[in-house]
Amino acid sequence: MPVPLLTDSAMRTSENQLTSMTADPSITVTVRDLRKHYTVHEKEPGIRGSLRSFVRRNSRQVHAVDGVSFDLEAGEMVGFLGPNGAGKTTTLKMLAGLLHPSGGQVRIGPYTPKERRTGFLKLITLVMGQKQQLIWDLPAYDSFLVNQAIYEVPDDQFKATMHEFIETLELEQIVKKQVRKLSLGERMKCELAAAPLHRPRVLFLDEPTIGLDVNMQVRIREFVADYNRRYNATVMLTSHYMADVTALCNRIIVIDKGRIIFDGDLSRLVEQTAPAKIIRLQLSTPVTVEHLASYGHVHSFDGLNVELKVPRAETTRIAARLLAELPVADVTIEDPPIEEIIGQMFSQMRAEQRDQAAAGEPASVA
Amino acid sequence: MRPRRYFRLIMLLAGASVSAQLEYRVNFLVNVASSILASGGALFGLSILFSDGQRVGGWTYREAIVVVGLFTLVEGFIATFLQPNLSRVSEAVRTGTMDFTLLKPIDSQFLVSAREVNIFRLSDILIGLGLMLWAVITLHSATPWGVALGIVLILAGLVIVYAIWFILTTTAFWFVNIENLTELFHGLFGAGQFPVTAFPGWTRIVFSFVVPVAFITTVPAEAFIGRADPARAVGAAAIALFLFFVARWFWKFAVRSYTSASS
Amino acid sequence: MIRHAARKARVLFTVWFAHMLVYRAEIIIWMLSGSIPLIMMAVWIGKASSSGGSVGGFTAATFAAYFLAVWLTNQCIVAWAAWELDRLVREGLLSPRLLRPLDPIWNELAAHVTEKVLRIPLMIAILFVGVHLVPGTQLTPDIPHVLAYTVCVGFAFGIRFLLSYCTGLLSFWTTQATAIDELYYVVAGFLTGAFAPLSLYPASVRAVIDWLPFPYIVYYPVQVLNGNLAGGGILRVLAVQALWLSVLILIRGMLWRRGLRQYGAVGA
Repeated sequence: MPVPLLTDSAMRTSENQLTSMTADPSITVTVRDLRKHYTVHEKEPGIRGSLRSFVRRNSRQVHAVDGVSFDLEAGEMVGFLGPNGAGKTTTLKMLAGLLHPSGGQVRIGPYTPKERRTGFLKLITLVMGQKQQLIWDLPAYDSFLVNQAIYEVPDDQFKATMHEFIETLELEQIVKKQVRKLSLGERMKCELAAAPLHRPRVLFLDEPTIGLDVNMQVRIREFVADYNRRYNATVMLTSHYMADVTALCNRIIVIDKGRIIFDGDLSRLVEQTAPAKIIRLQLSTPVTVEHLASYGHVHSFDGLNVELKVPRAETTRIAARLLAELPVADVTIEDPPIEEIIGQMFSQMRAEQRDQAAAGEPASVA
Repeated sequence: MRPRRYFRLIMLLAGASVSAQLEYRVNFLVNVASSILASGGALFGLSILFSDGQRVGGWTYREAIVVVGLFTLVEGFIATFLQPNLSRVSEAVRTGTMDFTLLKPIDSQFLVSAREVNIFRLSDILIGLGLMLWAVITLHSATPWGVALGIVLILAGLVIVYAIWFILTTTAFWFVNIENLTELFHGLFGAGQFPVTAFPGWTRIVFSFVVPVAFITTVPAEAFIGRADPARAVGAAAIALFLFFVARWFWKFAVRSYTSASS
Repeated sequence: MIRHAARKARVLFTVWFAHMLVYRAEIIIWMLSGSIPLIMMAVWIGKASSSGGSVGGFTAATFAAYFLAVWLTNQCIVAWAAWELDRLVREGLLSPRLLRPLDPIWNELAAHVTEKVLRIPLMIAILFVGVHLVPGTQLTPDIPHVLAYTVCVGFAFGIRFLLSYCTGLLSFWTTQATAIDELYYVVAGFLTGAFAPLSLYPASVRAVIDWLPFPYIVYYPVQVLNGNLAGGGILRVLAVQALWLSVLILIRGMLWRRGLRQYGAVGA
């Protein structure tokens, strides 16, 4: 992680920021029993369906968010995970004041988002990976200037922030080019720089890295981490790329079908859901698969490199045995990748729900 | 970005769209209101022009209504068949989706011309036909031969409109950033709601030969009211054929230079 | 407070100016496609010359002055706010705008006003040609009438802009806002005086039309420019325009508040 270069003016303003922050009451986010229900009209496909619904509509209630509660401390970085349609974006939009809740409360600092007070709008920002706010036919710098004027950012603070963002996101070559001529990644970096120009204290990021290559993802992660450190900003992030979440967030909230199904440390999620660990061995002489299988489930094997999946509780014991009994050159013990864990968590839940539905009674422990 | 294109998409995704059903009704109402207001306005404007009871360019009020009817009909043709298709061409060239069209094993000019129909604007065509029929019948001057010729001349007029519209659209292959060149013609086509003889001096020449509006509305109208001029009728057919082949050639030329230029 | 407002205005104008420059070719095409007043000018001049030089008190020269002024006024009041709002809502681009502490109407207003600035050169060129094409055409009698017209046409633009903006706000409820806004162009021909000078209309029709905002968008500003109205008449036009403006501002406020509630309830 490169250490951000602080120029004199940037240094000065970040100090100002620090003193003003201590004067500020710290901004916390409180969400209580948040709900959002929609009425959806349904139509059968084709002309016939269109004609039928021209006359009579079918409608159905959808509970997009169904009783969500959590608190965010100032400066916290939280990953917000869940399958498509779980209610992540709906929740973020309610937190940003774009959607009005059907029930429950949201407080961000002294504000209620849906009132859309100027003070609130200056306190937050929302980045949507698939929606752009930059002016398409002009260089991104023009959009930055517009944001400066709209958010009433003083000149010296604007310059310092710009300098800092241009540095961390490597924008020098980009900001003077027409936005329409930028690549997807370059455009996203500019979007990301435009959003917190007014130094908001709460950042909502909805898929900020979608469609970007790995390098660009890393760069954007560094930018977010840097911003969080510098301004003690609260960050709530949704992403399809688990690496975004593992790199940035200690705490994660998992949502499914509009309800929170997990809220806590990443490490606790791993322990709770993944009852296995991976032992990775490098052997100095080949061993047969059959022999290895007596220690645990062989995950992958190519003669000298072996991955074994073993029960979490027995990891230490098995590792000791392996070291004692096999020609081990190197050993590492890891948790399974987070994608796998979350995927497993959802498939477990689905299976339980199926069982419940099938048996008509609570699922029993197998 | 073309609004109509998105509207189409919304149509397709109607199952997911909350207000799709409402849209059909509002869309229908708005288009009918628009058709009625437009032709009502044109008739009212015409009545002001004729309020002193004098002929204008040798046409009586009732005869000029045939021209207004034809004008409404052609406007409806443009809105129903031309605009929904051809307005997408420049965007397709700009974004590169034209490549998909050119890859299809079917005539590309046909494909870009006949992909969509905006059925809601059929109301214009119906109102135009109605106005024309009403004026022609009450004039008692129509002959069977004249009506038959008139129908042929309407078709010739539609071919002329299509060809001009299509030629202007084809320029999109070179003028990537100019999306609305067809609006230039559309604006001038407004002259078609009057008999071309109502225009003074050189403007009459302009609307006959530079922008052949006269051959689209005035000449068919003459046939319907039994005043067909054989020379002008032949002229309309000749111009229609000529422009159609120019449009065809121009499109092939454009596609050829497009495919050889892009890698 | 005022300093901030002035700064916002300045930045928005500069940025929109740069943006509109990119679209200068499109702007010229739009200007030339609004040719109905010029077509009507030709038709009425033809009519005047065939009926002995004048119709209803208008000669070829006064028709030319009238329709050139109509064309100019049409150029000054062009508004596409409905189309833009419709696009913003449909493409989900309104959300980012709503997160900013500035009502989106100001952004839209800045875009419209800067676009007008780019229209000026071609406006002057076409007026120059038009005036010289028809002998004896006098567009305006003197400078004070031009100044009065400037204010009048500013108000007229305000009315047309707000009409379009209000229609655009219907996008919160329907995807047909653009189509509804196009109705303006359908009725503008005969309600604003682009087909014929309203003084040639039957008195009964005239009495109804005068109660609508439409004549105050084109016909009356044209009367001011042509010098057919003097002090008191001009003030009356301005007063009625101001009234329509206030009504539309109230409606815009109401639609905006309800629209946001609707947007908040359903989202986009």
